[in-house]
Amino acid sequence: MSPATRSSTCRRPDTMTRETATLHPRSRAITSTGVAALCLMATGLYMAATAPDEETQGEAARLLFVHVPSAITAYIALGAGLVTAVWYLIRRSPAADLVSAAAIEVGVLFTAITLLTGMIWGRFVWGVWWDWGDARMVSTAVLFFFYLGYLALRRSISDPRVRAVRCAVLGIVGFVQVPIVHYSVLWFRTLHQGPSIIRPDLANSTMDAAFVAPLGAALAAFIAILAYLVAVRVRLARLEAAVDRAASTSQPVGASVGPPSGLSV
Amino acid sequence: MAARAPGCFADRPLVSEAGMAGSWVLFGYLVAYGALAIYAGHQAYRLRRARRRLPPEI
Amino acid sequence: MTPSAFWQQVRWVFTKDLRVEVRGGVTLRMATPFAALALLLAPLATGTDTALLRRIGPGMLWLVVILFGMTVTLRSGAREPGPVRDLLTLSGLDPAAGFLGRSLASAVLLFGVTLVLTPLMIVLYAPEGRPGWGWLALLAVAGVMALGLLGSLVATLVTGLRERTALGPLLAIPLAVPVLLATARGTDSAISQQGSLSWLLLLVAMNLALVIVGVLLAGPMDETTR
Repeated sequence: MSPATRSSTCRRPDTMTRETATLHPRSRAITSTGVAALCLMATGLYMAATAPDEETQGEAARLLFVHVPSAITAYIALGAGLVTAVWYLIRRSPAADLVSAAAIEVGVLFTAITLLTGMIWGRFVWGVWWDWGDARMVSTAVLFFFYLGYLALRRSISDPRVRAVRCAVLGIVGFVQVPIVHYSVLWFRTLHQGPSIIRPDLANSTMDAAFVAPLGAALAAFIAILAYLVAVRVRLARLEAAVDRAASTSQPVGASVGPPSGLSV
Repeated sequence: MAARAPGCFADRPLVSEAGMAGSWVLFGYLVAYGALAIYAGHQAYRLRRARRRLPPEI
Repeated sequence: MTPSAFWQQVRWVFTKDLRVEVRGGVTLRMATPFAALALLLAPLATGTDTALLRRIGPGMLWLVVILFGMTVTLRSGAREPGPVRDLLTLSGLDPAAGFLGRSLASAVLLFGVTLVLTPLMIVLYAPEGRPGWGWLALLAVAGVMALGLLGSLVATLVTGLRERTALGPLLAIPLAVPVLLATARGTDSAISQQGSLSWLLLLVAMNLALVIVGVLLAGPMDETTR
């Protein structure tokens, strides 16, 4: 029996009927998203490998085909997380909370990838892992730690309703604060360093078509990966909630605890 | 060649000048796609575990 | 509710929290000495190079105020313990008024901590220059207000959690980065006799944003702490 069919037959009929009915098309959609993501990823990797060397950076520019798309994908994911958080507070729909949490978790992953590839690129081009002059690097790191806190808050609240409300509130507070943090760090840099830093950045040059194509392919791949991972994460959250419910209803507290074997009473 | 950002250590050799470009690019790709693969793998593992734990009697 | 009734509620919560501090004295007797100790220890870690200490003094003061002050605001800005909370809910306290009252009380406590630590920093680090005291006072007031609001918001989010002492700072400190930058860099500007208006405006914007968000979301947050 395939895992999908087994899980659908295991569901409790009263609460899970609707989900059971839609499970098969949904899991097929998730699988096809995954396959599409893999295909796009392969295409993106091939195009990145065959792109010409960049004029000033040479091989280093190839790192930007993973750095820039992951940054954009992270923004999309965190943005989706915030929109769904607001949606949750308006409608109180548990699904919105699950999607919000999944999007933010995957967004944190992409933020980490952005930071790591940025650091590797920096070591490569600037000679140091971390550049205090780069405001975006510093503010992205702050953002990363804030969302790590968000995930930690999620993990430490067990009541789903309390968790959903508090995480939605934190998401909105972050949404208001993060631009302020970002601009303050930007300001910090402009007040302390010369206003113009000439550096081999994509933003400073008009990009050649030879680089636009692999960048676009990588971006498409990352967005597909994002969609796949979020879908899987939501499904996982639903399954784990069902497991928790089943455990709390079918088994009396302490049922799994027995006297140590070999103990004579 | 690549410009140094202000505040960088002037005595650090640039990797791009050391002729190791390819391996650093590979390292970057390995880190990025490795992180994605680890996360996806962990999700798949948790998914399987959750399915196993759904008691069959209900 | 009329505006005057709302502000009266804010004042009640504010005076209640300050009275608790006057009677308990945790901020004065524990948090402030701990922060002072950090100011004393920092030069031992960086090395007692006088020129370096002169330069980092104001920044260290604000770093210490934010890191240690956050423990103060996370405690004083937290929701009241069970019976008091029930009493306040039963007496019809507006959640937004409660939030503002707690935030203001935390800000006053933090201002006190800053007042105690500033002379200590001047003695220990001997920063150069003659500061514009007006700018410094404005920066300090706006800075502690933002920290108070942020601390109360986050404290409400971690109410009742076993992990709150570890989780609270992790949530609040990344969002307090503008306060650190604005107060520390603004102090530098004030010392070098340049205006600190841009930094002050940043703090004002942050305060406004936090007040709006806090007041709007006070209701939903309140319902999770009952």
